[in-house]
Amino acid sequence: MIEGIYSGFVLLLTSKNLFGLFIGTLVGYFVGAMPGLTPSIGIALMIPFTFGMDPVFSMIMLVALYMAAEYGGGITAILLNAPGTPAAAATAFDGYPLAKSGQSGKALAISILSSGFGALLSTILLIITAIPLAAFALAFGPSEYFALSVFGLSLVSSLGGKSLLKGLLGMIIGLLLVTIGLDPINGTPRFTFTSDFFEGIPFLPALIGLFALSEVFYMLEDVKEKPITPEPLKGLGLPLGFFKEKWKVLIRSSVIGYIIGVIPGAGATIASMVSYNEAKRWSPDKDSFGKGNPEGIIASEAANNSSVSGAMAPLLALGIPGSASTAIMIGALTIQGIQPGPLLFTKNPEIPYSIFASLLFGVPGMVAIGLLGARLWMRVVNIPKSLLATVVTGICVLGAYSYGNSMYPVGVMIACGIGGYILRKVEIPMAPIVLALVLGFMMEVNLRRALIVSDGNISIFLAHPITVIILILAILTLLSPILPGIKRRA
Amino acid sequence: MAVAEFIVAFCLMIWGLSFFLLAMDFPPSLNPHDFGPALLPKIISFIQMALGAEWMRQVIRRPNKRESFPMKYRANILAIMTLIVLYAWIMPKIGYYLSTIFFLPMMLFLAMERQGLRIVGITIGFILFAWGAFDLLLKIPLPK
Repeated sequence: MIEGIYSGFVLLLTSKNLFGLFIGTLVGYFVGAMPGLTPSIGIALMIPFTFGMDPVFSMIMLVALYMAAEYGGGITAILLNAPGTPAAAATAFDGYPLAKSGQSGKALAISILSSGFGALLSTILLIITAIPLAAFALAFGPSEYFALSVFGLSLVSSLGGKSLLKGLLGMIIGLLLVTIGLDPINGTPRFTFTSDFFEGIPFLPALIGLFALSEVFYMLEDVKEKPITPEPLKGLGLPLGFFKEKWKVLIRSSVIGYIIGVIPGAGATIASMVSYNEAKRWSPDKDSFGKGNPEGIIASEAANNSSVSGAMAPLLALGIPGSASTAIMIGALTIQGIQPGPLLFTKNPEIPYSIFASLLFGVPGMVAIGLLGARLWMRVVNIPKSLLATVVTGICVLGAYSYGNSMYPVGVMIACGIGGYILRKVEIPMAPIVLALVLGFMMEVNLRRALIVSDGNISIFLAHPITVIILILAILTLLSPILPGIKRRA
Repeated sequence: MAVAEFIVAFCLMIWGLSFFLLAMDFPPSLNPHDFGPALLPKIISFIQMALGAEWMRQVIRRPNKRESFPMKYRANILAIMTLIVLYAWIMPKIGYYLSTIFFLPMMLFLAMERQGLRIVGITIGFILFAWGAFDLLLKIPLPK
């Protein structure tokens, strides 16, 4: 493992890859600080630029973008009370009151240092857990993979937003889209109205449409909104020993963030909310939360950055996404001809180890850029929405075209963008659709393979203990939102 | 009743029904232990119909207190959607750069940008960026 990490550092410490890390961090800060652009949208927009690039370079850039975007959301949350990302919402609870009391610099410094600590600790946890998890997953057969994909899909209950029905509908829409194209076992065409459809619904253009283009239409609705004036930035330092009294919150929040990040589908928003709640629960001064308590900022920021590394664990070890952003990264790896999952560590070790190295090395850089550029990042909210929407549309079209050098992916992207906008308007969430687009193929292939190898005997899913455990977990996860109601009635 | 939700639920049901009917014609698998290409699409489309029907039932029973499909600047957004579709349709015919020269200023105008300098600057800047990043650097040939 040590040699692997060493080789990751050797790969990273070339001028080209360091440049990728720098660019990824800069774009990440921009995306994170811009309300409306989420890390997932940033990654989706960046992927077209990685088509012709070396896989290591592109992954370093995307991971840096993901990490920096999760932090960038905290800047506008603190200075404008407008979280740049959903995960930074909890940062605004105490960050904005602290900034309003004339301590904006202190709030930003707490936020960036807590993010940096969370990211660093979670990267160490990732290195410790991902490799054994991948080694364990090497023993998986089709039945385990089928169970794993069902487990991933069951997370629709947590990703589905307010209505379980609409979350399930989103998942079913995604699954139905996956059935378009050639059948994965026999090659029978399914719902292929023209020859273009033989390749199915291309994953990345669909994601670019669902996330980025649908967001463009939302931006256009706010096109005349006046930019908010930020609280003036005063000082950017903390008294020495500030974190001496706060180390418990820092460590607890980072660990909570990592664990929640590992759970596929849970994501940074849940991590920061749970962590904030825990910080408040453990604090002797509960009433000060929401009024500028620095522990609130620490809890939210350490957790949301920590969840980034957490979300990388199932991606690297099992090939299933831990968040919408990592779902898009699976697409980025796949178009480079690399299959994420347990074999990644043996077939393409340079990918996971360079990701580890870029996370370890990138964090101090992210902290430095964050502290130095705070005044610059807060200005991105002043970019007119009309310009941003037009440029994002242009990149969406370029990106979809570059995916297959044809107009078919562009058509898919536009259809998904308009369809996604309509679905979002009626409150059907996008995350379950993405989850189904990623896991639907894996589910069908492994279900059918498992039945073929067992001569059609369905008991294969009960014969393997790991399969049974994962399937039970999937059922419990799916039922978790309705279990409290059943309990109350009983 | 939330009319927009009702229409979307109805469309999802129709989509599910049409895929279910189409899946009936899929050939069986050659392997007797494989359930074939039709079963999963049939199950999924059936569930979509069922969930769509349940959603419609909920929409009918629920009193609607808010706007069914809130959308500011509706005409502009619909025009931009049409413009994007036209852009994708015309691009292979007249080439990427020429179609973009028409598309970007029109989209900026529909997005209520009225500063001429900005419109020209963004158009030229984006075309240069596309040429530099995609044609030159990444060697991705854009439609000519």
